[in-house]
Amino acid sequence: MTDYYVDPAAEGENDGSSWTDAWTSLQTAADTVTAGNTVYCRGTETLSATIDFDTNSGDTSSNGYIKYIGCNSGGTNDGTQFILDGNSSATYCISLGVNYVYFENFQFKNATSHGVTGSTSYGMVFLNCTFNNNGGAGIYGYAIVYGSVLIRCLFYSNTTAGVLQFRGTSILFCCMRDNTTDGLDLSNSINSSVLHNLFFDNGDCGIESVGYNLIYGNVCDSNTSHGLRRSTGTYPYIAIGNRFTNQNSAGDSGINDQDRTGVSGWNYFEDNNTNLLNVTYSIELLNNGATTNEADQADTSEGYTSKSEGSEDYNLRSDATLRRTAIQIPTGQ
Amino acid sequence: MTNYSFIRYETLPAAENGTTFTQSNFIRKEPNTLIFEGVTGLTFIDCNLTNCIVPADASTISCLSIQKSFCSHLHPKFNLDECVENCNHVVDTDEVWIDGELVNIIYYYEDTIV
Repeated sequence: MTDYYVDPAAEGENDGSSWTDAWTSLQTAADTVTAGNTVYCRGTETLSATIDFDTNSGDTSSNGYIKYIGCNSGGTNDGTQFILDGNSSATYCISLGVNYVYFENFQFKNATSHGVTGSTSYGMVFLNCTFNNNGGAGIYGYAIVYGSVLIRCLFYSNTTAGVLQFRGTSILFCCMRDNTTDGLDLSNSINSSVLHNLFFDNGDCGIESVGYNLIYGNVCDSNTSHGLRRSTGTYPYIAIGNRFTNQNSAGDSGINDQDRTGVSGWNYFEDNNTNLLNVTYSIELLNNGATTNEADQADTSEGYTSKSEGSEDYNLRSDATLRRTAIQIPTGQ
Repeated sequence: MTNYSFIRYETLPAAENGTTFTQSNFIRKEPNTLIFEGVTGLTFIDCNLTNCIVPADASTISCLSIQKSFCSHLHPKFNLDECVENCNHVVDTDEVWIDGELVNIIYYYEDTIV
């Protein structure tokens, strides 16, 4: 287990052994380090080409992950992000062709295509990372990358979706906003868990899902079309305990299940044009302020609300007293 | 922080001289689209300016500034004018032959940086 260092502004021996002698490019680290090593990174690397991770993988036996951790200017991990700036020049910030690599405190931005792309990778972890202003998706898995985890990450203003086609992935406490199409597009992707995230102001749906996905405890607000849409395929999904608000343009809905195989329940809806569209199985819902509501078999009994026992108002309206869940989710604000 | 992308705003709202935009998405459908023509003193910080031409005196800081021709085959959600099958975004093809007869051509597309 060896620690290495990357600092594009370093002027020492460029051997990665210390901050003074840090490697000046993440590419050198990607080509060198092996399972169990940790690479501390600080500053900004302006890219003219993609950084390829295609040499060494971590493992899940004795050595463990290869970790890349962003640090502040003093070399301490305080959440300050190491910036990979595609500079409107690099096709991707990084391209993943290895497995079991962990990124903490990284920013991937301004690539001409996707911020991060992967081909055959699995077991990737992204913690407290930002993916923004990329010419494709924030991160694109080609429906091949699987078994990965995205935690407390922020995806904004990407040219397509925030996250695109990740299979078998856990997405926790993330924020996806202001992306040109969807916040999260799981088309051609199944078996993911989407838990406690925030999706707002995206150009199409908050979440686009194919199926076999668990969607729980999320907030979808003010996306251009639907909060959650399942558009193709016959695979079921489960959507429980989410809040869908302000999907209020004509034809839009909180949930649109176009093939009618999903199961939804205990979701909260407010200020949508339609709460449930094409939904067959809805266990319990609260509709409030919708223009129309359509569900084939819905139990409309009361019992669920977005107020705490102390009547604190968690609803995502401009006059709500609290606009976030208790778990702090990065919005970039 | 606003999503001004062409999907939400086919026509951008007016901006006042001297406005600073931060972390906003201005992507336009077609390359080299003038935005905020005639508005002065604008600053764009950490924005997506894909296919935008900003006023000459505008400042851009850490923005994505590329001109990209989008292929309709890749972006069904963009509502683009439909490309022909063998459009100028084709980067590769695979031919499918059965019993000496060409039965299909598979096209591979990429958006084009212009």
